[in-house]
Formats: sequence, structure tokens, C-alpha cells
Amino acid sequence: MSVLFWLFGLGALAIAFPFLFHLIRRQPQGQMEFSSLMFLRPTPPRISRRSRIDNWLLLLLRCLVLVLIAFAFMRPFLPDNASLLQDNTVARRVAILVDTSASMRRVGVWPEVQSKIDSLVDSFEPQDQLALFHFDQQTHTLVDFDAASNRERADTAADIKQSIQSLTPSWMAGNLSAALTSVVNQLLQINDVEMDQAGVSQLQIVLVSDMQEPADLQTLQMFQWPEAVKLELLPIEPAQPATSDARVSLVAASSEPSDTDTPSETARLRVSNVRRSQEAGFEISWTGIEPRPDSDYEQPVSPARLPLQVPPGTVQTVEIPEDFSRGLGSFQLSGDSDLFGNQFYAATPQLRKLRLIALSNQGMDNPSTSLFYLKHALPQSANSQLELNVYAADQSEWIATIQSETPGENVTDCVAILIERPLEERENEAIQTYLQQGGRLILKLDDAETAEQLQELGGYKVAGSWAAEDEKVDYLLLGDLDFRHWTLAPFQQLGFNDFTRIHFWQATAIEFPEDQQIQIAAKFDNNLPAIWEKTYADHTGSIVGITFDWQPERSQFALSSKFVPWVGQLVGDPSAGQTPVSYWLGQPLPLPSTMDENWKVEALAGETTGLEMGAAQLHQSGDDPPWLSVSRPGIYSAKQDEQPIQYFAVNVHPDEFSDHLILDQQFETVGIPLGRHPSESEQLQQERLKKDVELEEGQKLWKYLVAASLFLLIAEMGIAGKTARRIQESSAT
Amino acid sequence: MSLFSSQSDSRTQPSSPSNPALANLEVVRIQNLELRAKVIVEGFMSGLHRSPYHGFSVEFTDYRQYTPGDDLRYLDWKLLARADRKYIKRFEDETNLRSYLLVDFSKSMAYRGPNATCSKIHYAQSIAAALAYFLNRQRDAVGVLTFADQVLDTVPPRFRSGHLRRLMLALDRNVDGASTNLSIPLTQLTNLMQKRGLVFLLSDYLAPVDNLQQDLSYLRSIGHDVILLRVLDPSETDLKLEQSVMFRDMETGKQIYVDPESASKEYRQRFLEHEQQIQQVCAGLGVNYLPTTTDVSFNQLMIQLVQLRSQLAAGRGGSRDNLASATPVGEREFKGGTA
Repeated sequence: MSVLFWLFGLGALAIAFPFLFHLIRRQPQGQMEFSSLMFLRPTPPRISRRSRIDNWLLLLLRCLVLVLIAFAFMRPFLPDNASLLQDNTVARRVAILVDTSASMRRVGVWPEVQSKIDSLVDSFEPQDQLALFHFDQQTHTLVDFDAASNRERADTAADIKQSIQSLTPSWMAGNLSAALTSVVNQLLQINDVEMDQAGVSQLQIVLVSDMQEPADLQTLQMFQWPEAVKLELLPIEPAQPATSDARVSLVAASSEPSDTDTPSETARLRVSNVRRSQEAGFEISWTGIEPRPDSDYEQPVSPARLPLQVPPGTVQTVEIPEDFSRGLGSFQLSGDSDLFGNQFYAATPQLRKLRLIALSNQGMDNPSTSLFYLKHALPQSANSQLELNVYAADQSEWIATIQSETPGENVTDCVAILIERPLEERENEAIQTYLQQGGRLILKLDDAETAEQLQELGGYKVAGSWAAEDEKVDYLLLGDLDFRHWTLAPFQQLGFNDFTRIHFWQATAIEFPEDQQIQIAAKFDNNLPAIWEKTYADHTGSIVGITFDWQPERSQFALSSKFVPWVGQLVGDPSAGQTPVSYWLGQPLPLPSTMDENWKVEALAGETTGLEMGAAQLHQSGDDPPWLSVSRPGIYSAKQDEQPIQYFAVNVHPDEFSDHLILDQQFETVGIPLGRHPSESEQLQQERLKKDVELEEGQKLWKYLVAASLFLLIAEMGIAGKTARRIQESSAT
Repeated sequence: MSLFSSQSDSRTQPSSPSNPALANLEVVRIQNLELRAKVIVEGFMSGLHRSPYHGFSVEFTDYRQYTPGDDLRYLDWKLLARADRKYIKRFEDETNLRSYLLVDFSKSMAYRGPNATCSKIHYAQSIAAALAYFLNRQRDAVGVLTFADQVLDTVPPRFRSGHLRRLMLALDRNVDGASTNLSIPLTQLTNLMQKRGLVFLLSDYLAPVDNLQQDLSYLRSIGHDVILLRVLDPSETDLKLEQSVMFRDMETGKQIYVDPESASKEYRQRFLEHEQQIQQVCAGLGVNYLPTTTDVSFNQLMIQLVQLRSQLAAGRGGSRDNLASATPVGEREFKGGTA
């Protein structure tokens, strides 16, 4: 005989109560409060008959009733000897997916993963198929289903345990969505025939992760998750977490690396401390590394230390102190017991010095000259410095500068040459060379005499000059403006295209032959060209001509709001063309298209001193420029023919430092069923329980037990009544 | 048979009911303690038939010559007017009588027997209040000290307006404490009251009295007149049990089972031994000991107390034997009349 509910058996213990009621010594009923017992002595009570069991039969009947009722509640039944059918039981196909992203490098996390996977593998039944995957930015297979199906189950389990022991987390960010999608596809790579042969019908994924909230989980909504695949979460928490966990990162004007790195003045350090941290005092130091001697980077100086307080759960942002060295190196956070995230590599671009050469007889310090206004309107950038160099008649000096600064075919630091004086022959030659090398000339033709001498260079013909007789009533306006031309492009918006308030009182009238490639950007209202550009078919050089002067005595242009953006457009953005140097791990590192096979990448700092195999890979496909991928944070130097051509600072993706955990509901929101398919033994147990319930419902032995207890109660009442009558009769006689 | 079977004397209470228990019942129904004291004192005064102003003090003795610096309040102005001589009236005690009422507020005092009109503490409060009222009315300085296993409250002896109210407030409290300790209040009183005075100690004395002799001898050595008033419930003097009961001590909560056959006899014997012990102590020290029960009328007890006081005043300086224990109230024949 079996029972369904064992716990009701404890009810049989109630038979102790009749014994207790019989044997408890009763206190005298009367109780009296008295002022003092100092004159009274206690008298021992006499043993009454109640402390002995008088009627064994009644007592046994009552106990039996209690036992029968308790047994009835246990729902007993007679078991059926027919064995359960094994056909319904199935094996599981289980993919163990281990998170090996950088966040798993936190203190105490990975050993916990290894121990949990060992016990997880042991918890599966021998007929279950197991496979092991791990993911960071990509999904990798360690033990696949095909290998597992061809081997003994014990070997597969040993393989998995061994693989996990030799596995270490990478530095990459995790891509959970892609990993889940990939593993689901692996799970489904089995047809119905194979499933029947292997007895597999349940598909299971066990995700072993620190459950850091991924940024891209919503992309799983686009994926049709199979209903048969269940996801079991195995969150990992370190057994002995570090007492503190802080991270440092460099923030520029924008937190993400952009095409224009401007860290010089706006760059700040951000130090975050997690909520569970017990420490609040940290120190930041800068450790510079020594670049090659031919590099433009600054040499490292002695490291400075910056103490700061970051209470747990807060983020502190500090300006980079001036005494911190700039260039190549890393910011190091000390005072944190968890070293993960305590180093941030930075490679700030070197300061570029650019020049605008002005060939003029005027100075640039006198407000009566036009160069004075030009100097103050020149654009500046954080990483570059644009200077105005004026050369009056000293030909050799500026020519030497141009030539020395232009090795080969490249014009590097001279953004343009402004000409407002007649040129010597040697200067003319240098100018022509400069033009052919792609340089930009700005001819300022406000003086008719100078304009005539520059006719040959500019390709125009001076038709005269115009000057206002009365400045108040007689002036020129810019009438026909071509905002499509690059010099006026900043003003094409509706709110900025009004030039009617700028008066010009002096201008040079020029004409162009028809064979010239001239594009007139602006004309005066008397139809004279004001701003024009001459381009060449055989090279990229160009000449921009201006027939007026912006000096306040000759026009209102220099004092107008249009002047500064116009000059900025004319000389160009000094920060243009700089390659970014800060990247997250996983981002492609662009290389110049001039890279050929004789390239080399060297790690200057970081987790490896010498570059390990596979740590950096060159990718090149088709006409696209080549790019580099690295697998560890650090500072890298890409070299061509042993010459460093690019530096990269590579850091762990900030998502890996997030302390937000993914919730179960978030998986359910994207349609992933959570849970675990029952094992074969669990299924058998469920089946057995179901069958027992059916048997018990069919037999209903509890009814007979209740009926028997009722019968016993009636007998007890009869005996008790008879005994009571006998006592009364004996006491009456 | 009651140990102290009370007998009323109609001559002492002409206006009160013949049954003292009924007379007490009327008084104890008065909630206000001060009013209750006033009712007791007025009733007791009306029974005296004589001038109530023969009090404990302010008794004129003789004259003496006035010397500069003497308090002019005591100058006999009538004699000055009549004979042109300055004389100062001298009193028996130029300062008022100092008296202290020591009242036991232990939990055993809350006992009230099955047929009693009030609890022992109720009775003791009423008597103490009446004494305080009476002495205050005689312009004497009265103080109160309440105690149980320790001193609960102390009001020093004063005569000033509002002092009677303070005394009543000190007396109008509930029982407290785990046991009765007679040594502590007597020791403290020895330190507090250095001048000679009158001490009333109201308690049930249901505690060991081993140190009572020593404590009382300190007071007597200073010169205090001490009156021990023992307040008991009638059922405490004569314990009668019909069936076995569990007795529970009101002070300690201890429970004991008592067999009715042997307990009553033994109780009576041990109670008498304890009683004799107290009487011997008092007799040896010249302390007045007055046992009473709660069924004795207040008037009767007050008269007895006044008479005791008169004996003390008359016998001061005389033999101590005259000042020994008094006859228990209810057992003696009251002569009535003046105190």
C-alpha cells in the first residue's frame, strides 16, 4: 500500500494527546491570593486516581480513531505493478552558452563559471546531448553537437570540463543577441529523423553569464524564436566579490570616439564606482610610454597623481590636470581592489602647426591694414594651430619654407598663400609649383596697380577701378551670390544669406577671357566680379580672387558677422584630415591606403608587451582601405617599412563596465521562453505521480478508513456510556 | 474566632452607626482622600465633647523677661498694656511638633479579605490622612514617607499653605514593590529627622522583624516618640479554610498548595509568635504598638491614637513602662472623653 501525502502521517502523532490528558496532574481548582505566605507551609498534594490510566480499552479506541483519520488524509492506495511506459520519455539537446566577454574578467567571476559548469554538466542525464559554446563579440564553438553525438557521453562531459578549464574571457564586448541566434541555429541543425533516432525532442540553451544587460537585446525581437527551445539562465555572481569596483575612462567632447578628436581642452576623466563598492578614495595617475624618437609625440614626464573621492554608486568627472603628460600612455586608477577597468589607454593627437603665408607689403599689427583683421579671424582648433606669416620682399625665406615643407608631392602645413603685392620672378616660379602641387592661392586685388601686375597669374584683365565719391550715398553691395560655391556655402541657409547691409566703397574691375575656367562666386550690384575662383584641369590647385578690401576704411566686410566664417571657409578646417586615434575593442582600425604587404603592428603598451600571434590582423578586401583588428586593449603602432604611420589607443567597450543586470522579463518581452525542460527521471517521476493520483481516485480507500473510524467512534461512545453508568450505579449503591 | 474581635463602644460614636464596619463603609466610599480625612477627624472631634484645641503642642507654660532681639510675636501685649512690663510667653515647645507618617505601600497591603469593607492600604491611607489633617489643623509640621521594599516618596515635615495637599498627594498612590522592608524607611528617617518628633509607622508588619529592634532603637535614642500601628485584615488574624487551595503570595507571586486541615492551626501559631516578637521589641524600647484590623471604626482608632499621644505627653521624662505597648484596639474598654 502506498500513500500520496506523507506529511499527513504526522497527524497520527495526535494519539499522544489522550495519554497526556490522562496523565497530566491537575492543579487544585481553587486559587487564592493572600497577603503573605510567611506563616504558611506548602503541603504536598496527594496523588489522585486521575494520574493513572483507568480504561485502557477506551484509550486504545480513541487512539485508533485518530490514527485512522490521519491515515485517511494520507490518501492511501494499492499500487499497480504495471511499469510506466518509457516511450514518452525523451532526451534533451542542450547547448551550454558561456559568456566570455570582458566583463567576466571581474574578480571572482571566472572561477565561479568553471565550478558551475562542472556541476551543470554533471546534472544532465547520460542520454542528453551536450555542446559548449562561448561568445564575446562573436560566437565560438568549443564542443559541437556532431562531435558529441559520435562519442560517449562521459567523453563529451570531460571535453566540456576540460575546455572550460582552458578557456579564459576575452577583452571584447559581448554580443548576446547574435550568440543566442547562432546557438539556436546550431540547435535546430537536426532533422526529424535524427531526432527520432536520438530520442531528442527538447531543445535547451543554458546561458552562463554575469547577466550584464546587453545593449542590443531588442534586436532579438526580429528573430523568430522557436517555441521548442527553452532558455535557462545561470547567473554568475562571484563567491567573494571585490570590495570595490571602479573604472576610469577618458571623455572628449563626445563620449564616443569621433572623426575629430578634440581632447585638449574639453577632455575630462570620468571615474565611476559601482553601488556595492566599499571604497571611495582613489588616485589617478598618467603613465606615458616612450614612442619612437622620430615620432611627434611628447616624451613622457614623471607621473602625476590626482586623488579624488568617488562615493559608491556615483560618477565623478574631472578635468585632466595640466601636469598630466599628453601623448601616448594610459590613465591608471589605483585604490580599487578589482583591477578590471582601472586602465584607460589614450593617444592624443599631436598639435599640428599650420600656416597661412601672406605676401604683402603691409604689416598685420596695424588696424589700418587688412591683415590685422585676417589674423584675428583665422580659425583655430584644439589639435592644430594656424599662424599667419607675412613676407614683404624677402623672397628666399618664404620660398625656402614652402620647399622644405613640401617633401615629395605633399603640401602639408601651408593651407594657402595670400598675395597682395607684385611678385618677383623667382616667387612666381615657386607659386606656380605650389599651384601644381595642389596649393591654394588667394589673390587680393583691391589695388588696381597690383592687380595689373598679377594679371598673368590670375588669368584676368584689369578694366579699371571703382571708388565711391560719397561713402554715405555711394557704395557697392554684393548682388549676385552663388551659395553653391564653397566659399559661400556657410551662408546658404535662409537666416544667414543677407549681405545687403555690407557696403563696399572701393573695388577693382576685372574681366575674364572666355577660355579661362572661372567660377564667379559673388558679384557686386554693378555686375563687377567680387569673389571668383580659377581652377585647373591638370592639377588640383586653385586661385581664389577677391576684388575688394575688407579693411573698414574700404568696406564694412571685416566688421560684419560674415567675415569670420568666410575666412574660416577660405583657409579651410585645420583639423580636417586627421585620423582618429581612440577606438573601442572590436572597432576596425583604419589604415592608410598606402599600406602594402610590408606592414607591421607593434603593441607599445597594454596587456602584451610584444605583439602576440593573432592579436592583430590586417583586413583588406577589394578597393576598400585596409583596416586592422586587435583583440586586446592597449596602444598600437601600425608601421610600414618600419616607419610608424599610425598610432591607436584601444580600450574595452564601455558597455562591459555597466552594472545593470538583465531581467528575466526582458527575455520574455522579446519572446524567449525561460525555464528548463525536465530530465528523463523528472518526467518519470511526474508520470508516476500522475498515475498514483489516478489509482487513488479510482480506489478511494480513504472512504473506508473514515467509515471505520466512525464505527470505532460509535463503539467508543457505547463503551464510555456503559462505563459511566456503571460508575454512577456503584457510587449510588 | 478572630484574633482581634472588635467591640464597638456606643459612647464614643454617638452619631455614627452602631456597627463599625458600616461606619467605615460610609467613610471609605469617599474617593477624595483629603475629604475622607476631614470626615474622620470631624467625626472623631464631635465625639470628644471637649475643646478640640488641646492639641499636641502650642501649650503655654510660663513667662520670661523680654530681652531685645526676642520675637515680638510672642510678647504679651495685654500684660504690657496692663502692667507696662514686657514679658515673653513661653511655650512647652517653641517650635511646632514635628511628626512623620511612615506608610507601608507594599503589595501585601492591597489585600482585602472576603468580608472586609476595604483593603488594608485603603484603611492605612485613611488613617494616615486623618492624622495628617488633624496634626496640620493643630499647626504642627507633618511629613510623609511611603515605602515598600524601598522608599517610594518623601514629603518633609512642614507647616505651610498647600502642604496638606502635598501630603494627600503623597498618600494617594497605589501599592508598589515586591516586599516589605521596615529597615530602610526607619534608617532613612533616622538620617532625615534629627530633631525630636513623633513618628507613626503604619504597616501590616508581614515581614521578618529581626532588625526591627535595632532600627527602632536608633529613633528612640534621638528622642523620637514612635507609635507602631499595625493594620491587618480580619481574615489574616484568623485564617479559616474549608477546602484545599493554591495560595499565591501577592508580593512575590509564589504559589504553594495548602492543605486545609493542618494549615489553619499552624498559621495561627506562627502568627502569634510573630505578634509576640513585635510586642517584645516595642516593650523593650518604650515604643507604642497598636494593632488593629480594618473592621475597626476610624473614630475608635483615632481616639485610641490621641489617648496614646496624651500618655506620651504626660509620661515624658517618666518611666518607660508607661509608654509600652497599648492594648489592641477593639479589645479594651474605651473610657471616651478627653484625650
